[in-house]
Amino acid sequence: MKFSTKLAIKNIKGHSARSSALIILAGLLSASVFGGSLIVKSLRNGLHSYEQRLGADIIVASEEAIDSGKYESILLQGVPGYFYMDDSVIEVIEGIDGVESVTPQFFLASASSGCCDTLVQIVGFDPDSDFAIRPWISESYDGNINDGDVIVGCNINIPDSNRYKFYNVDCNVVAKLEKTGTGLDSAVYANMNTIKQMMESSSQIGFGYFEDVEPEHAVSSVLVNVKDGYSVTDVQRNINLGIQGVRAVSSKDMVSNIAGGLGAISNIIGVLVVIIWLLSFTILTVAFGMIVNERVKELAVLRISGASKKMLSRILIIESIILSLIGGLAGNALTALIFFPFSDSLKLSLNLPVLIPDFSYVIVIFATSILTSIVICAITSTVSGYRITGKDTGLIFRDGA
Amino acid sequence: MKNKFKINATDVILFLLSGLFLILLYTAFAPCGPKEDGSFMRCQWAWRANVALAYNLLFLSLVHLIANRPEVKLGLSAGIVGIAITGLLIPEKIIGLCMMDTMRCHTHTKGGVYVFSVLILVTVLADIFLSVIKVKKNN
Repeated sequence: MKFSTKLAIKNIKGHSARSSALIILAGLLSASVFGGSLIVKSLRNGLHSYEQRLGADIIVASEEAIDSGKYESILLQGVPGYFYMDDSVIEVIEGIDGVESVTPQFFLASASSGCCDTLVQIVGFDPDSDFAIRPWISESYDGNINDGDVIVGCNINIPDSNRYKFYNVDCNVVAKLEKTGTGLDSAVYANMNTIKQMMESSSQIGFGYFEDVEPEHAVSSVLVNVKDGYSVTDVQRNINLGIQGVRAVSSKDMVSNIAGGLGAISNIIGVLVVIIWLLSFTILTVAFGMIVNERVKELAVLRISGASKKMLSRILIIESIILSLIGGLAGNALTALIFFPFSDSLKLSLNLPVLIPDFSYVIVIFATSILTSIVICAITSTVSGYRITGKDTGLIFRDGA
Repeated sequence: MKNKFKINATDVILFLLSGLFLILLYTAFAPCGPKEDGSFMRCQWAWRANVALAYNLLFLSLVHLIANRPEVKLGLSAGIVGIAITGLLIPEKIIGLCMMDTMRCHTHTKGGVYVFSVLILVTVLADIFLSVIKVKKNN
């Protein structure tokens, strides 16, 4: 080990209070960049995933479901809900000019005794016409979804028996889906026959979900894809004008609502990170300046002992690199320790989809934030060191400063 | 020679972390209450086990705080490591939590147990490292 490195380490060990303060500052700097980037990236991933999972150009549901925000709550937060309309709307929508394909979806909230000590959203889809859920399921499961089979979102744990019972209908869990960061992670998916069985069974048991809609003719929503060359807005308007009691919304509108919220949060986080950066940078500059001033005699003794100006600068830079490395590692580790276990809490409190970025991205921002912290500390210590090493050694001892 | 009573930074941090952990387990990290029929979900048992461990942690960290000899501190630290690791394993491996990852036991209790168990582990490992150095010096 080089003499300058040895001396830098001894200096750090010898002044534990000073070193600790600098480590905390460097840690704060690094953690703010790491944490801020992690949150913003997770929110962006969540929005992208949400956009992908909508899977259709237009979503049609009852006016009440859209206006009350029930539909959005299911998709975003996984709040179990149910709303129905008569399936005759499917035929009407199919007849509207510009509609390429339609597929119905059924939403049913489980009874609390089903699987999870709480209500679970059960989503039924028609495997023959579906174009929204199937592509997503195929990422995790290639097989057929037979009657009685269910696929669970990643937030639902599979029991050892691999079986769940919903409204007295015995179901076999065939797959668990990949995480999407949306409310769909907390749902159970089944084909149309299975969900009709559950619907009938729930009616027999006495759950009054369907009100004035016949269970066998009930659908919750209809997803619509628009033909190429047709405007989504025009088709959406035609559906709204042509069918009473339903509301058609475009996926873009649903996503842009979320994107607006996400943009506001990203901006707030961005501003906070910049403020923390500026504060940390200023404090580090002042702190290094004060420390170097305090050590002016120590550095002068080293100069008299034969140390060059370059060597003194090297000692100061090595000290700052070691301190910022320790601070950065500790700060980022603490941020990761808090962020990952509480990411679901973040999702629930922000009411936005949150999808944690993959491991390689986390490693990259972990390293980048530490590197940024090291560079800033090295720059501030270099500037302070340059100011002091430029002074005449004789004057330092004579003036005492 | 009379031993000089000295409290290390790790002793204080360990005690504070253990105390805070216990308080938060009863407040911010508490899971859902009993169901309408009065029965408890699985998360309640996991939480109770963690509360019991947190009391043990608090007691051991208090003794650790007032213990003087590095050899004694070393033994207590080894015990704390065991308890912290057991605490970490309770939510997912030993007892388990409720079935839905969006439930309070997953979003609050599990996260809190992980964060505090890891912090306590890191602190106690640092303390063991320092105690080993002291024991070697004494010998």
